[in-house]
Amino acid sequence: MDGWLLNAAQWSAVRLSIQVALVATLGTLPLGIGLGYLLARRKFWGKSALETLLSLPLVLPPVVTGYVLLVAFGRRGWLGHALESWFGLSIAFTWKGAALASAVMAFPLMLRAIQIAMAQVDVGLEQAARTLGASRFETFWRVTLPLAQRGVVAGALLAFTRGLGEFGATIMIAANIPGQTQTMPLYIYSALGMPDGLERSSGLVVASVVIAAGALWVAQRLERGGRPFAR
Amino acid sequence: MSPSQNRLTLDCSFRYPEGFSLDVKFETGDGITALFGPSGTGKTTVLGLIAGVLRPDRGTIRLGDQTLVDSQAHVFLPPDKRRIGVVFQDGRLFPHLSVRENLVFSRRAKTSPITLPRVVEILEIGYLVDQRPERLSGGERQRVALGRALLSDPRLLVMDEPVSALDEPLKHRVLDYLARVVAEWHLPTLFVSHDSADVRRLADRVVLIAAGRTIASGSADILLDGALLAGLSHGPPLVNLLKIERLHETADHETVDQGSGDHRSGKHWEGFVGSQRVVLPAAGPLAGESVYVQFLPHDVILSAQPVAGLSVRNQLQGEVRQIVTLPGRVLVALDVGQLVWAEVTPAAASELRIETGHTLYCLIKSTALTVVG
Repeated sequence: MDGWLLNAAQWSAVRLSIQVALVATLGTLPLGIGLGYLLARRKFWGKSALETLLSLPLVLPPVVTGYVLLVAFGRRGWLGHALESWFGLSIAFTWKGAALASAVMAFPLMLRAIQIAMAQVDVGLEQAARTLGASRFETFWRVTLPLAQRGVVAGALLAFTRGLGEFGATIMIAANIPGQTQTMPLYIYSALGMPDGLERSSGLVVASVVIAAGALWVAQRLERGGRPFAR
Repeated sequence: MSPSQNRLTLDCSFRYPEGFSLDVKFETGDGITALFGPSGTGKTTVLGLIAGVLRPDRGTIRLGDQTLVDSQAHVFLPPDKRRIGVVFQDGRLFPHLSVRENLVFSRRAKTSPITLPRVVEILEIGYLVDQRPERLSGGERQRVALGRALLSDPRLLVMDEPVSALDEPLKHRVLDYLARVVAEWHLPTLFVSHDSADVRRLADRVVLIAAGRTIASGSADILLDGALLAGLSHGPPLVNLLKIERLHETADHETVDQGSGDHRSGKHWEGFVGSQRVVLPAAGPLAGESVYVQFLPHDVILSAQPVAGLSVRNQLQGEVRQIVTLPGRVLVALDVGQLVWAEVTPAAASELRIETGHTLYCLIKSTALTVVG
């Protein structure tokens, strides 16, 4: 595909960005749905502390979040070390590190959208489902989730687009390795250091816009017709 | 399962964080039991406790020989294990599902002896099954909600003001559907209402509740106990409700208009309370054998003798059963075949020398009667 709008390195950055954002989104979606429900419906000890913790990446400088991730998931970090010795999984300086950075940075946005949507589902409908013999889980699956569907889709979309654009935390934990961890924003950043940087990166800028617009369009389709979570 | 195994016994207390407290104790019957009382006295809370969406601070709830709640033994059966069909005041249909999907939402719908085709037939909701709930009218929504509850194969049906949001003609249609349901499946039913006319039409048994306390319970006649009702703060107004039977249309006597000398004749509806004739107000065509009429106690005039030469068309003879003296007015209950309450001034009461056991005549203008279906 070299030469068609983008060169090979740029295509690789596009593919990598989509892969990273998709894995980050789909990987955290179940957690976002579960925590969104928990925060919207339950009262428990330490709830506001948990909410604060989960929102921290929104307010911290991304580089600081990246630093924390690097400390935890680097080869010598306690989590990174455990993952490597038990599963042979290395996170730092791989695309998985980029996905982790995107996931952590985008998660608060996704969670907030899902939590708000779930809080708006009428508790009365859930009670009605329970009186009709549906268990708590079944009620969640057949009533709450389908009714919060718009928020779930919107949250996933926000996370995906935020993941596409992730820069600061990514460069800390995944570095900027062409073909391996160099996502679109990192490519554009690197290209700007070269003499013809603006021209070199213009194709990717267009690609970013196209991908984000495409994601928006898919999300709108899902919200209107698809009913992806309905039976 | 015989209905008596599905009697509900409840003895609970519950306190809201805002301070309102509830302490109720009653038992339902085999037929229709009404939980009756003014608005804001905790009736809906009681339903929440029965359905299992609220947990009492103290007490027990039993359905037949099954314990649903026992605070001392730390028993609390979740709502999905109770088999109590709940029809909520606002219907609570699932907006993301079609009417059909709503009806068969319960997994028990497949094995229930109450079947989808029969429910659709009895409630006449066949034309609705492929629609979305948001397009339904209030009455349609209540029927679908009732059908959905029935299809969950309940042991007890519980309804929160099922008709209070509906206008009068619609209300009576929905009540008719409900009567059909109870006749078909002999399902013990508890319904909440603040409308004494609805309660008297439907319930065999009444539990009277006010300010979070059970005041009385017993046969539906306790609603006719004016002393009880008068004791309720902000109690509902006492309304007479008479069932008029052997309904028929009849020709008026010919009258001569004094001014023009024209001869006029017309038709009107009349029926009977026992053997006593009642003339109904001018109304459109009435269907069926019987009809209910509603009127206020102060629309009743009492007379010691039958009166001739009056414009009042209805004179019902009855025996005085109860006299309730209130500040500024006296309520008199007469048995004319059914109970009728009349309101008179204390002066009139003493002049007529009203005493229990006396025979009096109730004079009621036809125009004071409201036909309620």
